[in-house]
Order: sequence, then C-alpha cells, then structure tokens
Amino acid sequence: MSDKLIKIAYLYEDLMNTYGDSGDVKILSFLLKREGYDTQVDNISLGDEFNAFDYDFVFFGGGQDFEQTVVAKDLPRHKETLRKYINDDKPMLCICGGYQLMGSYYKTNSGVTIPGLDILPLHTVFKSDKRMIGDTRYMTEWGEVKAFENHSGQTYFDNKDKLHPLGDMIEGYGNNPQDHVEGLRYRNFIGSYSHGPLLKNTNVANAIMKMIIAWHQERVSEAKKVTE
Amino acid sequence: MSFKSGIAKVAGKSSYWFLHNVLKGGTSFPGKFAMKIDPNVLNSLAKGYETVIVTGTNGKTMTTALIVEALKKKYGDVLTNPSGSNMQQGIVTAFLAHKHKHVKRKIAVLEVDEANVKMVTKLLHPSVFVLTNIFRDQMDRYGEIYTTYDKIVDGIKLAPDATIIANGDASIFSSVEFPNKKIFYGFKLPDDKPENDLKAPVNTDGVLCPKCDHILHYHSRIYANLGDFFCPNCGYDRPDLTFTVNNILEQTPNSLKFQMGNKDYSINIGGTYNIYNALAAYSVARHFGLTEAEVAQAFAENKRIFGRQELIHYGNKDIDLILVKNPVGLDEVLHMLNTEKDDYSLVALLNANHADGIDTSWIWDADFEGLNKDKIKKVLVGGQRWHDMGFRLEIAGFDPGTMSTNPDYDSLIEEIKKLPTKKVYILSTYTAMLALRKKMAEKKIIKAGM
Repeated sequence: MSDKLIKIAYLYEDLMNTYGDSGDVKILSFLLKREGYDTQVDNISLGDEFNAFDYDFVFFGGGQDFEQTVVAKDLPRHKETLRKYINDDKPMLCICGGYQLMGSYYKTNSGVTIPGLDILPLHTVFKSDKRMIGDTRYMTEWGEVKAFENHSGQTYFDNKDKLHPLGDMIEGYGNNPQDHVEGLRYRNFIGSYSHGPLLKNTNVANAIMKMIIAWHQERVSEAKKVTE
Repeated sequence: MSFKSGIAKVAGKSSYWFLHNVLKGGTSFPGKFAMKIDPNVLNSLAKGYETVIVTGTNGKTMTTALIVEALKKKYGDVLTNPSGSNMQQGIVTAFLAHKHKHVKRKIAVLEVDEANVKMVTKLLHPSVFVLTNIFRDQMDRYGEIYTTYDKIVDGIKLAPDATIIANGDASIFSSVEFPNKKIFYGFKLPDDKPENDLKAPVNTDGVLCPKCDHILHYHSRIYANLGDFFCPNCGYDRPDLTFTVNNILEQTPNSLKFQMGNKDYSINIGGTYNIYNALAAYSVARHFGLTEAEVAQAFAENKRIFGRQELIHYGNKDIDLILVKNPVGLDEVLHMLNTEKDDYSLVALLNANHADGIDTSWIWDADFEGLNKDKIKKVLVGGQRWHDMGFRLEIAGFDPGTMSTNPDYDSLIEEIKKLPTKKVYILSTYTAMLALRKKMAEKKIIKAGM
C-alpha cells in the first residue's frame, strides 16, 4: 500500500451526480495534491462490493429523486461496514440525498416511506410545495460557510444529545424550516444540504482534509504492522 | 375567427408594427398585449398552419433554424419564432410579425420551452413534435429530468394525431408509450458493433434503464447518455432508427462534415451536438417530402446559421461567443474546443441571475479537467460570479498565473483586444452574454439586437 495514495470511495458516483457535488471530491483531490498526496476515486455503484475500511474517505452526494430511490434499494448491503466506519471516527461527507439516506427513513412527496441505513438517528420528510431553494450562509466551528441549497426534504434529528448540527443559519433554511441549523457533525461524519459545492469553502475543505490525512496515516501504519 | 380574436390580432399586429418600426424592438410585448385582449388569440392566428414544435433541453434554437432553412427550399415561406423567444408571448408575436406570402402549404416551425409544450399544444394542434434530448438543466428552475419529460408528455398526450420525431439515442424518449406515429433518428457509426459493451462516464445523468432500473450500457456512445444503448439486465434497447448519421468525416470548432443516408453534408459550425441538430432537421425535412439533395443544398447555403453560437471579428481577433447553460452542453463545448488546432485564449463568464440559473454548482459537473490546456495561452474570467468560475478553473489545473479576472465589461473588452492569440473563445451564461453584447454594441463591435 502506497504511503502517498489517498483512496476515496464515491458512493454511486454515476447515479448521485446531478447537483455539482462532484466538486467536493475534485477540491479535496486538488488540496491533497498540494500536500503531496495522489488520489484514487472509486465509483461504488449498484451491485459493487464495498469495504469502507479500504478507504481513507467516503463521499456520498446528491442525486435526482428517482435515482435516489434506486440507490436506496441497493445501499443496505453496505450498512454494517458504513456503521462501523462512522462509529470508528473515520471521515465521511454526505450531501443532500446522501445525507438523508444515512437516517432511519425518508418520506417522499407521494407519502411513501423509504427506509434509510438507520445509522444516524434522523429522518426526512419531503414537502414538494415547500422546496427550499437559494443561497445559504451559516456559522460552523471552522468559520462561516456560503453555499446553495435545493431540497424539498426536511430533515429532523431524533436524538439531539447525540447529533449536533454542522452550523447555525445566518441565511437560508438548512435542515428544515423550524430549527435554523444546517447539516450534521457526528464524530468525523459530516452531513449537509450544501451544494455549491460545499468545499469551495476551503475552511471546511481543509478541516476534512486533515481528518483524511490523519486516518490515512493510521491506516498505512496498521497495514505495515500486518505485513511486518 | 371570433370578434375578440379579430381585435386582439389587429391590436397585436399594430403594436408589433409600432414597436418594430418606431421603437426598433419588441420581441414579446405585442404578444403579451394581444393575449391580454384574447388569451386564445394563438388559436385563431395559427389556423390553417401545419405546426412543428421543437422542444428538449439542448439544441432547440439550432434545430429550429436548420428545419426552417430546409423547408424554405421546398415551400418558400416558413413561419418561425426568433432565437430564444420560446415562451407563449414570443410565439404569439412570431405569428403577429409574420408577413403572409401566398404559399401552397402554410408551415410554422416553433421552438417551444419544455414547460410550455402542453399549453402551446392546446392552442396550436401541432402536426409534428421534434424531441432533441433531455438533460439536467438549471435544476433550481426546471427540476429533474423526469419532471421535465413529464411536462412534454402531458403536451403530446393532447395531440395523438401528431407525429413524434425523436432522438432514438436518448433512452428517455422511448420510455413512455404513445398512440402517435413515431419516427426515431440516431447515430449508426462504423464503430457501432453489437459486441461492444461500453458505459457512460460517471458524470452522466439519466443512465438508468426505464424498464428495470439497471444501469444502461452502450454498443456505441456519442456523448452524455446518447448512443446505441442496451440494458444488460432486461434486454431493453434502442428503437429502430429511420434516419441515421452513418459517419463523421471531419470535425473542427467551425465546421462539420458527416454522412446521413447516402450523402455527405457540411455545416459551418462545430460540436457533435450540432450533428444531432442537423440530423433532427434532416429527419423533419425528409418527413415533409424533401430530397437528400434539397437538404444538403439548404445546409450548404453560404449563410452561417448560428443557433446559440456567434462569430465576432474584433480588431485582429476571431471571437467565438458560445452560450453555455448546463453541464452537458458545457461538456460538449469543451470537447469541441479540444478539436481546435491553433493556440487560443479562453474567456469564461458566469452569472447567477434567474435566466442563468441562480445555482452555479453545475460548472463542477463539466469536465474542465479534460480540457487540453497546452493550447490555451491566457484565461480571462468575468461575470457576477467570476470568483466561483476562477476557483473552478484553478481546481481543474489552470495555472493562476495565466488567469486574470475582469468583472467589468469595459475592461474585459479591452483585455480581449490584448490577448496573445488571434483565436478567442468566450463561454458565457445567458445574462452575461446579453451584458457583453450590449457593451460590444455600444462600442460598435457588433450590431445591436440578437
């Protein structure tokens, strides 16, 4: 295993690919390159085998509603590996649809309940007549973030002791119209409704990059121990 | 014609005359005015016309222009709406502005916005629908591709007698069954072999099989999700094609040479997407009884047909001004730039007004990384969101040293004059293009108007 090769798993890159979130991975690859790391991005698609611990970072972006329902059916195969990965403090970023699918369920506009991975205690209800579209600004632990939201899903935390928002709203909606917060920070997992893409905010990008490099170094040294 | 429609028509026509001849403008106001008097004025204006409706995400303007050029060859006079005026008022204005000549067949060829197909169909009873493609487009305005297609389907359902002439390489167009007569066109290139098994790049949307939700594969892929698709799971595949492009013979940013049926065709514009537009126009022309020779002659006419691409001479510069509005269109323009043989400079203008789409995320789904940067000697970045555009290009590997930012159009135009290359490509979103053209018209670099 190469010391300087960062492996990124892009969940359903060929289906959850319509809101510019691929930019998050492009920006991280660029910043990592500047730190001397090459990146390899693997598309984990329908039917593919996947072990999250083979990767330094897992990314899951937003997609169209129809594609999301197809992805929701394939995704449960990876529940155990993702649950362990997240609870073991490994870095993962989920945007919009990807964020919704980490919760217990989402209810579509037509009232159908689609189960999520149920790794994080949150749920989402779609309200097509109240689509939240526009610029957002919010304050995170790494400073202010400017982004764009475009979602009809309203996300609610079911365990507010365990889950903490990514930021407090300055402008726009965020998770839902009531709570005035955006996204989720849980261990080294980040969920967010921010397109734009989110990581054009280099304060957040650099923070995630540090998590990735830290876990990468741990992973490399563990691999070395095994081979010795 | 009802009394009300008669009044509306006269009022609309005189307001058009006034605006056009006295105020030198007016693309949608006369239509708006006539519709105020009679909301159904289009119904009476369009009586006696065979109407062709051209719709889809990309290529509407170019396809419409090429159909008009071809049909004029045989039928002389053809009514159409000017570039971009594809909402209802613009269409009413087109009918009001049309000077009637005595013709055997009255034909109207109209570019119609996807969301307006239903409403226009109600009023016009079209005889032909031309469907170009459906891609993600300004998702803050249009929503997702299936929603867009549903809107078109709702319109087609009102006209079961109309013929559908659709891009057979787009799987979405054979996903819904219609009672209508259907004609499909597509690419059947020499490398399109049944043993080929290809997948679309990861940034492609609309790749799921409409029958079984598996990912489609291709025997030959032309661009984005267009090509000779098949489903490895359920066997669903491309419909039989009536009209085909059989070979691409030559491609530069300003010329295309390709074969349809048994004949070679040339047009003075670049981009594989424009071959699709030419193929759509060819299919419509053949449907209206034109011979291959008549179509070839129409396409070869010396007049350059622009669509949303314009050539401007400024000082010693040859400028190609190209409208970009969604990632698939932008990606195809980038592919076209990679066919440029000479060194060039790139100008990228990004706005985020309603007409551009207020979300600029889409520039990240286009493959700027794949652009051949050796040929690009200088990059200028402008528009309201110059910062986002500049950052996108930096991430794509452009050296910040070769880039400069010019949010102001006066200085941008001065900078263009100083660029180190003769050839200049300007990629611009809609309102940035309008602002740039306005400034260029003030400086007498181009004529005013579109």
